[in-house]
Amino acid sequence: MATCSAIATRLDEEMLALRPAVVYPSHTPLSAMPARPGADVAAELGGRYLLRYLIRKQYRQFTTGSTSLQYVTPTPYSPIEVISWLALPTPARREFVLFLDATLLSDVRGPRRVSLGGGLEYLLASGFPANAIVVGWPVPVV
Amino acid sequence: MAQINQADDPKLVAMQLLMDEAGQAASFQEFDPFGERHGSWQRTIHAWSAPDGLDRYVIAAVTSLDDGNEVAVMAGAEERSVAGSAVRPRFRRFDVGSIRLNGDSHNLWPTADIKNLLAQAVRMAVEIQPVQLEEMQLLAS
Repeated sequence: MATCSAIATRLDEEMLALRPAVVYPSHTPLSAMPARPGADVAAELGGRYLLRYLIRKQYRQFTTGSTSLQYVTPTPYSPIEVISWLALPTPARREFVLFLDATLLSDVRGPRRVSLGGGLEYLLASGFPANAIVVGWPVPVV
Repeated sequence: MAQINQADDPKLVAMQLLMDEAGQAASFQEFDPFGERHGSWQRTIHAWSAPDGLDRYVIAAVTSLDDGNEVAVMAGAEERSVAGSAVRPRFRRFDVGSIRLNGDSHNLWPTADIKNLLAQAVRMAVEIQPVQLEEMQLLAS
């Protein structure tokens, strides 16, 4: 099946480079990246949503948001491609995705290149509130 | 099977200790703490290898599946890049293995097997040579 994950990733890299945004190298740990307000990140993304992929078992897990460290990406990937670009160690299919409105987030770190993967990611150090979930529930990855 | 909902869950704390123990001799240190990463609770430890310019990583991911928890371990190395560089660094990544975890208590885990898996991952990460690195595919995959 033909896909375009490399092109999608490259376009996101170029979008961030033109803002300009600092893309931290992959060897940058969470603790070395400053906390940023969500509004700054939303402006950086031109209003695009951040994506948090889910396995089927997690479909109802985030109805009230989360206070745990979360990893998100601006780039859409298919359930197969997401494993390699985001360097996910388990082959469980990520069949769903949450769209998160960055303006409603706080303490965002990144963007950072994904080590051993090559994709781009932001880290939500204090999770995300329920009202940041656009639509209100997970969306199938199609 | 209880789902893991927070980073201070005893199962993740136990896994953290096992990772630190496995990586200690090779100077691995925490890179990213346990967080929810697209379906799994994932933690990364890291060691910088100055002589060959490689960042070495060991990653553990605990996933709650329908029939129990599973821990998967990955090892890899990546050449160092600078901030703002448009060049994607070359890397090599291995899926070292996975183990099913039965029972709600980490006291029932096959600890020796997990230690072996983590030790193997550290060895693999440390032994990757620069000549083994590959470029990320730049054309549509």
